[in-house]
Amino acid sequence: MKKLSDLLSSTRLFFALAALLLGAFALGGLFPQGLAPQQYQEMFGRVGASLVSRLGLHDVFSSAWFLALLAAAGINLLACTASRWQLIKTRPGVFLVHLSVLLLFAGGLVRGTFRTGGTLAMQTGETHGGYTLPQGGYVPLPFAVRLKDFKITYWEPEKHLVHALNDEAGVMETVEAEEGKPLAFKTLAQELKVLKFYPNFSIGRSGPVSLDDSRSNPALTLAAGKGKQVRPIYLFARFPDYHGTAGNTGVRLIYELRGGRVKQFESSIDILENGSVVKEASISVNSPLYYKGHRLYQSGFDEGNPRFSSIQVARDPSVPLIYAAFALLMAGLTLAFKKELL
Amino acid sequence: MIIPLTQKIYFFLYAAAMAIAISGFLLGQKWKLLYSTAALGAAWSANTAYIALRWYWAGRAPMSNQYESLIFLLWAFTGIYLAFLYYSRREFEWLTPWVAALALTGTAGASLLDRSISPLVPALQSNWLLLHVSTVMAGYAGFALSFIVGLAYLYNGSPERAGRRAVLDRLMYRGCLVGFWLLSLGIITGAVWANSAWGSYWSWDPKETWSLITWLYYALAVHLRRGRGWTGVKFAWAMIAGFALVMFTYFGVNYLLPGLHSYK
Repeated sequence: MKKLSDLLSSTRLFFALAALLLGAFALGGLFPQGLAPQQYQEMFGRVGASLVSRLGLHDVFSSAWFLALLAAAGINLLACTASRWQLIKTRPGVFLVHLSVLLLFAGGLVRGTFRTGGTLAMQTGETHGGYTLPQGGYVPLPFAVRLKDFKITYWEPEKHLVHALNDEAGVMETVEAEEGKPLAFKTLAQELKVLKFYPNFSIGRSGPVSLDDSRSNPALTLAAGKGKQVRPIYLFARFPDYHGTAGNTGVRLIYELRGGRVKQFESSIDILENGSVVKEASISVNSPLYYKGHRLYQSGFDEGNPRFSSIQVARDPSVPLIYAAFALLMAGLTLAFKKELL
Repeated sequence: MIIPLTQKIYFFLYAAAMAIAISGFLLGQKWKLLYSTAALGAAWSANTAYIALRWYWAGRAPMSNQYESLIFLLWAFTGIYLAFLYYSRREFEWLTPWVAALALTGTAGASLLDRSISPLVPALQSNWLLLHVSTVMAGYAGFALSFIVGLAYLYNGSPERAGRRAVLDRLMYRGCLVGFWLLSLGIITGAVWANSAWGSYWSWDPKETWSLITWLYYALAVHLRRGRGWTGVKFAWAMIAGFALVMFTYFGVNYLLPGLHSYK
């Protein structure tokens, strides 16, 4: 028993386990993680992919051998701390640091056992009473979430660009298009004027229409020529080969809808319990909502669908434990290093 | 106009700090070291002004890309050295040209990176950006100091320089401790920020993983020094190898292993 205790609390074991952990971290840090089996097969062949799967190399940080290594390191640290408990009097900083790392291990265990999280993929106006797990499956929430509104703001407005090109010279010229204004190409003799922008172009009963404001099928109509010779030209951002010839000049016009850089995206939500609104909130990146042990994070959007918002939901009871460990770690390091630094 | 000018000034002053010291060694005029240190102090002041001007111009802390973080790292590196030098009553002033050489090389390297001031992506619009990046970069600066001192230690290997080596050994360790304390704080602020922005304080993202590797490596180095007597040459080599790891975590991961930290 004494021998086992000595072994578990030995610094030699600590150095060995730390070296092994360094190797494992490096393996997980360098080896591509979480890819589909097909991708490993393409990279390493069938035998290699099978080995990757058996050794858990596709998911090192959840593999049995890695968790066993972490457990061994945790036991070693616990034994070291317990056998050197007098440090609390002689070197309290060192003791606190070791205690904090033990708390981190405990936090990791709580997280691995109890953390849940997934995605709420919502359209404005929808109400969801649960979220979808990454691996599939549905988890009900103790409340419902209604997406009232979703908006994306940009650092600069989107730009409508029209490129004139031919087969020989490639892109000859690019100009910015504005509704109702001429397209000021210097290299084209033909007169062109921008008539209308259709965010989501379609043909309705009375002609071209935009189905909604989403940029699902952006199109631009131009008027080419003068007086009675005017003919319309339709340019489609997603279908550059469709239409777009400028007369018989051999020049093609390509329409590009260049979106502005996203500044922020924000969901206005209602929290409902028993059908009644109990909380109204606005969540954006870096500003989550905390409600009844769940955190709701703004995580994504779809540029083609302005009504869509992706919200991450997480419930992690390990957070207080981890934050306490962080505080202990910094306090311990400060105490431990104070004399040597000052 | 004034921002690029400030950058040129501190680049010139780092070069001057090195040149003055080298000319002093060649001509046997050791008093020139004081002027070399003064030039380094002036370079650090100009570097401070550059960061402040960029901060004012951008309307946010200049920590959002590789270029801005590297400039901050070099500022912190020189600052930590000057602080140690001041509190030691200029005990190791002969290290100034070594420090100036690394700051100069880093500044020259930074000029190859994208220097444009861009608006922040939503994920970076947080006060945690300043706390997280500044503490991690200052941590790297501490490790950079222990690296340069480690090199100087190996260079001063002859027995008649025992006194100088004892000073270097102590400084090497102090640089390592400063770096370790700050890196710990940097990882913690990053975890708290990640929990607030992404819903998870740890995701095994490549940058997180390599930061943990760096942290564990230096934790081992401190244990080896305290528990196994790794001082002098052994510790100098440990600090040199450690800094290679820091460089991989800082640069290599950004370019080779894309992940949540791919802002460059």
